[in-house]
Amino acid sequence: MRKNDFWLILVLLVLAAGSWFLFRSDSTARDKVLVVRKDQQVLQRIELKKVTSETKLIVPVEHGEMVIAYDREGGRVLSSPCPDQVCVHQGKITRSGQTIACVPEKVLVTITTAAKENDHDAILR
Amino acid sequence: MKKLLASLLVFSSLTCAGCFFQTEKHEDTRFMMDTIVTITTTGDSQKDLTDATNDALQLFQTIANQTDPYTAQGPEDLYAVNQSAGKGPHKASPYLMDILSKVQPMGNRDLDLTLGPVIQVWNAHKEAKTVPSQEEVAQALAKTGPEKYTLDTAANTVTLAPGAQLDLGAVAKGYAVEQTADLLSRDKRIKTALINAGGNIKVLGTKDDGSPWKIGIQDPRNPQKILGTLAVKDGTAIATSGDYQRYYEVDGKRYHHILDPQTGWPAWHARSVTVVTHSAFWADYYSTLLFVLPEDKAMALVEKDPNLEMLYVDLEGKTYVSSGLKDIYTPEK
Amino acid sequence: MMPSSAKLSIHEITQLGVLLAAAIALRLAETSLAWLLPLPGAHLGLANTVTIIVLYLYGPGKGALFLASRILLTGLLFTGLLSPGFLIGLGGAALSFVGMALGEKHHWFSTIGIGLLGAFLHNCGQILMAVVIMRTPALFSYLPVLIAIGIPTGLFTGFLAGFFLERMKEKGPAA
Repeated sequence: MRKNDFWLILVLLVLAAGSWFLFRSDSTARDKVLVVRKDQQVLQRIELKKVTSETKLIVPVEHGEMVIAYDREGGRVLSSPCPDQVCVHQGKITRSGQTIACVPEKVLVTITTAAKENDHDAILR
Repeated sequence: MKKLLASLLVFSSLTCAGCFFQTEKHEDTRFMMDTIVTITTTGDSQKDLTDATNDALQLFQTIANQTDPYTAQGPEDLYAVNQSAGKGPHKASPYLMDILSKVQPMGNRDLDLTLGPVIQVWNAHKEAKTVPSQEEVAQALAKTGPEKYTLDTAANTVTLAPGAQLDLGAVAKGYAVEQTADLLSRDKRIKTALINAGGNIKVLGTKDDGSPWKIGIQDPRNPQKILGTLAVKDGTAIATSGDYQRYYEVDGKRYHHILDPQTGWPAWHARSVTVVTHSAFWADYYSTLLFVLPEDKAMALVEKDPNLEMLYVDLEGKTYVSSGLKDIYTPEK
Repeated sequence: MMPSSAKLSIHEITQLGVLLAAAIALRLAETSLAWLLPLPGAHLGLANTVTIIVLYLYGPGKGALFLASRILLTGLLFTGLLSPGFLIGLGGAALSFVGMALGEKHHWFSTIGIGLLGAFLHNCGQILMAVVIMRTPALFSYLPVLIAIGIPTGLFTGFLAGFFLERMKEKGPAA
C-alpha cells in the first residue's frame, strides 16, 4: 500500500461525507409529500399528514401492476412485477429526500417536503 | 497525483450537479402594453424554449399593436379605427375584431370598451394631478356606451359613432395572455409555461415535482407583501384588478385607473379583485367588471357561475373568497 | 473468444479464459449481495478484482476486450442484453475501467488504490446510467451510500487483485 492509496481513501471519505451532507434527508419535516412518478410523469402527490391509515396505490406498469402503500410516516413498494425486486426489498422510506426507484418499470417514489415547494412561481401584481 | 485529485473533484462536482438531465428553464421579459410581460418555460432544449418564447412574445406584440389606442400602428389597428369615428364602417384587424365580438354580446353595462373619451379626460388630469369637474366627466361619458359601436363580423368592420373612442385596456392584456398561452400549449417543445403580464397570469402544464403552481397575490397596500397564495393547476388563468396598479392622489383621495362605466369615476368599492378561471381573457374581463361592483353583488355574480372564482379585497382591507377558492387559497400569516 | 486472439498465445488465451470464468462467477456471486445496494441493477463490483488482474497482466487494450466479453456474457447469462440492469452494470464497468486504466498507466497507486478508484467510479457510473434511464436527478441521492460502500469493496478487490498478482509473479507466468 502506498501513500497515494491513503490519500485516495481520504478523498473518498470526504466525498462520501460531502455528498451525504448535500443529499442528507430531513427526518424532522412535518409537511411530507409522497410523489409517485412513472416515466417522469407525476401520477400521484400525497400529503402524508392528511393520510389516516395505510392506503394502497396501484400503478399500472409495463409488466403488470405495482402496488405502493403509504401511511402518515412514508411509503413503500408492496409488490412489483419487475425481476430484481430491489424496490420491494428497499422497504419503507420515511424521510424527506429519500427515493425508491424501480428502474425496470421506470417508477420513482420520492418524499419531499411541502416547504420546499412553497416558493411562489409568480406574484400577481 | 494533483491531476488525479483535480479530475476526481471535477468529476464529482459534475456528478453532484446532475443538472444535465434536469429540464431546462427559460425566462424572457419584455415591456409591452405598458406593462412587464414575462414568459417562463421549461422543456428539454434551451434553444427550443428560446424559439418558442420568441414566437409567443411576437404574437403578444402583434396583439399589443392592434389594440394600442395611443399610437398609430397599422391602418386597421385600434388607433386608425378610433380615427374613423363618425365616418362609417372601418376595417378592423383580426385580434381587434375578435375581442370586440367577444365582449359585445355580453351586453354588460359594467364593462364598457367605449370609455376612451372618459379615459382621455382622466389621463389629462393625472398629468396635472388635478380632479376633473362633474360636468367634464359627464360630457365625456355621454360619448360612451355599448351602442356607440357596431360590428360587422362578415366584413370585419367596426362602425364608431361620432366622438366615440374604443379603449380595450380592460381586456387586452388578458386577451394577449390567452392567445399566447394557446400558442404555447400547442407547442410540443414546451413542457410547462407561465405567462405573467401585469396582473394577468396563465399557467400551462404540470411542474416537474407535480406540485401545483403557487401564485402569490400582492397585498394591495404593501407591494412588498403577499396577501395569500393560490395553488392552481394546468390551464388556470388568474387576473387581478387593483386600485394600486395605476393611480394618483389628490387631497388624500385615490384616483385610480378602473372607471365605473355608469359614472365615469373611479370605482370605490374594492382595493383589488382577483379572478380565477380557465381563460386569461375572461379572467381579465371579470376582474375589471367585478372591481366596479360592491362585494355582495360581485360575489353573487361569481357564485352563479361554476367556472368563476374570486378573491375580493374591499376598501377596509377585508378579504372575501368565493366558495371554489377555499381549498386552493392560503392567506399569508 | 476474442477478435485479436491471433496476437495471443495459447497460454494467454487459456489464462484469460480462466479469468473470464472467474469474473463471471464473481459477478454471479455478487448478484446475491445486490440487496446491499439500494439502486436497482447495481452491484458491488467484486468482479473488478479480475478486471484489475487482467489490466496489470495484459494492459488496457486487451483488458477492454476482456471486460467487453465479460459484460456481454453476464448480460446474456443473467440480466438480459440492454435491460436496465445490464445498462447500469455497463455504465459502472465502463467508467471504472477507464479510471483504472488511467490509474494503472500513470502508476498513481498500488492495486489497492486502483481497486478503490475502480469501485468509486463503478458506483458513479451506475448512478449516472440510472439517472439517464430514469431521467431524474433524484437518484443522485444514492451517491453518499454508494461512495461509502465503495471504500470497503474497493479495498477488498484491490487487495485481492494485488495478492493474486504477487502469487502469479512468484510462481511464474505458467501459474
